[in-house]
Amino acid sequence: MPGNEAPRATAFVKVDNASLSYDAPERGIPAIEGLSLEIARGEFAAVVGPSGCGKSTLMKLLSGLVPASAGSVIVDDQEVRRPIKIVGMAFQNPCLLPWRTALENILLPIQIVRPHRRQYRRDPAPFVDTAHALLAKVGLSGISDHYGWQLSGGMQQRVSLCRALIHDPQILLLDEPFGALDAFTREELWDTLQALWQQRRCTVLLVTHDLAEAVYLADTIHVMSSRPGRIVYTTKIDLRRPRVSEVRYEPGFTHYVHDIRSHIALAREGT
Amino acid sequence: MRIRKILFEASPWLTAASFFLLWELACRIFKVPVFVLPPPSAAVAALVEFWPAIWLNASHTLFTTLVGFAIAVGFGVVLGVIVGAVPLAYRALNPLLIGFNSIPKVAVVPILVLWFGIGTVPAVITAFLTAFFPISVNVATGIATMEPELQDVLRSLGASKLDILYRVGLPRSLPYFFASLKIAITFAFIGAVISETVASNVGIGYLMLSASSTFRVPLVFAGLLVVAAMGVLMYAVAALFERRYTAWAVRAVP
Repeated sequence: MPGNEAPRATAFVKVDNASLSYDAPERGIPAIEGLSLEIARGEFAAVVGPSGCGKSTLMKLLSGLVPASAGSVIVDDQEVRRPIKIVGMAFQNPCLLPWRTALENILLPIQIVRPHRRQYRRDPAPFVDTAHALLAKVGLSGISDHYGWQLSGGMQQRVSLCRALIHDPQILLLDEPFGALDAFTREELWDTLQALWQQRRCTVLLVTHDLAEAVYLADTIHVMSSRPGRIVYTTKIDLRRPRVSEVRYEPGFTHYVHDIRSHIALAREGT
Repeated sequence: MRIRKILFEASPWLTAASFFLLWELACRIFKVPVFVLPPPSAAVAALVEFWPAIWLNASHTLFTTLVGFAIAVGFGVVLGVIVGAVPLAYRALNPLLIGFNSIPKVAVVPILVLWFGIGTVPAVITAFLTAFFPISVNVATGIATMEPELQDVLRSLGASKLDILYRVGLPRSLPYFFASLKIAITFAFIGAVISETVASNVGIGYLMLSASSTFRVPLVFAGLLVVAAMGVLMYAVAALFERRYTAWAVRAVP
């Protein structure tokens, strides 16, 4: 359980004993049951667990896409009941709109979120500048006029990250964003993400099944049990930042990975 | 290499030419009677001879088709958007629409004649009835197959259903829409010709029917040639629109 090291005053994200079962009876087992989780403001948290354990459901819960059927979900001192608009999301599938250029894709949230959408209609220039700056930060300056399908998978995912960040969200929800990339691209993007996070210090929740990825990026790792999902183990990752690729070959890093793997093995056997 | 490329480019013309050549030769070699199957040369001769009448009737059919098609586009898009965007509408309307689409439109023509009399109106309505379905189905498919992750992204930002439809659903369905136009224009044409054949006193369908009832078979085939040519032409125009407005969906590497 979390709390061996008390987070600052109140947590930014506080899930307390939350449960969720979809209306459609999926074998009658709720996706999430009695899940508790805390994430401090500005913390980089990762959730790992066996496949089908409800990790994506947790993201939907936090973003307010689906309300919890029991328990409470609090983000930024507000009970989450409907979409909270301060989230940025990215998925394994970059989901770029093929009829829009990279730049136009990144600006999509601006055209949706109030009050940005009205400001954008009056004067798009500052938003366009922000988008260009973001593209430069992820190493993609010069491709703003390319369409998504003209870009490689890694580049598409970078654009998708920019889109998740353009409206300056307070919490970034990432659902296996690097799952479909090759190993080299993935490691490059870890560093890109780490740099972005260190600069912006927004709260991040990364859902992944890659343990090395979780240990490399996160401050705290939560292990979820198999369905119905709940957090069965939480550990702090105490590695200096910024983490560089060499850190992955240090004994401390390997120790974390082994520790988490053993807990996932337990989680897969059932709780 | 060059020759292969030229051959590739010219292949549609070559196949068409060979088809007519074979037809001509077969008619001459086997001495097929003209009232059974006239050779293409006889059909072309009839085309030239009766050109004023053919032109009058063909242009009327074209007009009928385009009016019916225009109504089908308007109605089809609206219905497609509703069915694609509202799951309840999909569920509620689907069986009815499929049932309706299964009715051969030629069976509806007599009823339309009963209501509107012989002539242009039943032909326009038949063209419309035949053409709107593929448009609706395609537009609905384009909207309904939106990636769920994308909907999550937009909904998490507080997007309304209308926002999502406007920003993603409609642009996304455009390639489906333009693809359906190619089918729909052909369908509208078929509908118009069928209705004219069954109950009209003007139009290329009527022309062919009256020609065949007087055993002027070359004229019937001249009419068929005109019908086919108009179909190809309208398909080509629809394809041109498609390429022009949804180049992003073709994904040719520039």
